[in-house]
Amino acid sequence: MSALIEFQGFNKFFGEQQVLKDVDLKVAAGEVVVILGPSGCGKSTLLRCLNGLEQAHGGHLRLAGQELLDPRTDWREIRQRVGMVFQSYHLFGHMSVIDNLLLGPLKVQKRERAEALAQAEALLARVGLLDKRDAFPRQLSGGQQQRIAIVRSLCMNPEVMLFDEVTAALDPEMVKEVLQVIQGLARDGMTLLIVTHEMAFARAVADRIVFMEAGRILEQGDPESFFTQPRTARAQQFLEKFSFVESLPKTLHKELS
Amino acid sequence: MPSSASELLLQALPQLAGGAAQTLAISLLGILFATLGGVLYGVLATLGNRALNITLQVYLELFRAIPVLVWLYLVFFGLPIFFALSIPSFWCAVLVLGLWGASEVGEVVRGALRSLPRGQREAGLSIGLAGWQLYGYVLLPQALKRMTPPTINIYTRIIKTSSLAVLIGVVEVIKAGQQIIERTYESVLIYGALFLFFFIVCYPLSAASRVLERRWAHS
Repeated sequence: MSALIEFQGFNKFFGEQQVLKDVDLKVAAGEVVVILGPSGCGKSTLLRCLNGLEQAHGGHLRLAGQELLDPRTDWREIRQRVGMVFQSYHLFGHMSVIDNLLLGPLKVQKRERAEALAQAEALLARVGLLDKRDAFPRQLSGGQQQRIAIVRSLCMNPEVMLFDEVTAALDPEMVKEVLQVIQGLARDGMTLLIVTHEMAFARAVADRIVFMEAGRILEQGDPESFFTQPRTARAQQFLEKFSFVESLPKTLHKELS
Repeated sequence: MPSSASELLLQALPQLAGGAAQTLAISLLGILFATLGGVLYGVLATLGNRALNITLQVYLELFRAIPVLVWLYLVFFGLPIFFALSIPSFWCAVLVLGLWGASEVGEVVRGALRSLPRGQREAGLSIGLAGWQLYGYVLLPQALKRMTPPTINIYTRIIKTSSLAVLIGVVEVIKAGQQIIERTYESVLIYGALFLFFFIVCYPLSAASRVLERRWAHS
């Protein structure tokens, strides 16, 4: 199987500091890859490079065999094929929900309004927000805004979706509704690259876990083996931090004055 | 000689109206160029291009540091000498007011664009918008609320500053008034009329600016 996305010897610097070091990663079409790692390990940067929001500095990055680090790359075309959803949704505040969804299809892809509208409404219905069609972003909860942001990307009919900590800014009760939408996409066989701190979700949705630290991929593998027996000490420490809270013992002998 | 104030004003009216038309024409054209130039300045200043930013900074500082009157003289007397280029005084005034206004409006537009969350730009790019579409559909419409009130205030300053055009020979409303005063010695009456003229033109603008500022402060 040839890879849909391929990072090869990929390097990225912020000034002097190297944030991605010699990254090799292949993602097959239809695969769901979840990238885990401590804050600042470069996992978000990796996604942003794939969308052309960050400039790469070396190596190769290919999408369906096409080299993206070629200076002649038309990023506008690539971005239509690679959708991206951000931590803080970034809906366009001056537009209604439906206008947010139609901007790309109508202005970038020059599609027929009726056809784009039908698709947008069908997707809205799918995420349970058809009744918010004419609402403005500020009238919606965080979870609703994030689901709209996902639909905004889906309306471009992308081949790949990138999720950059999309539940990190949400209240706990809204995380579920967003994760359900993402899991639905995974079930439909869409290629997904997900950066998240929701360990249970990662385990449930991923075909493969990629663990990064300090700009490198330390290990990757299927979720069951990663979560039950991580191969590297760093991954083990990382997972322990997350299980620490769950297994925190009850506070006893509290002094009440 | 006219016997009463009202009779005198009535007689002076055509001449004053002619001057007022010149003032309004210079101001409106100046405002038009200031707005177009200011939006262009604001967009260019937020592209993140170093050379461009330095150029704009030099332009801005030149218009901040040098009085508009000196610019008027430079353009009106300087261009024919240094570039053998002679521009009618009316268009000199429009040009200087437009360039000066563009630097002022441009800073307002730049500030309004920069105050938008960075994510708006990235979200726009991520759905494949071209640069001009990003500004046209996403960034400028959202910056509009923040930039409109201060921009209207700049408009009133352009209108008031247009009176400097008298010094390069444009017969605008103040010059017209002075000509009437030279003939009739009715300085209080004429300057009173000029006061009313500028107040009637500028007050609604600054009032509108204040109303918009208050209304949009909450959204």
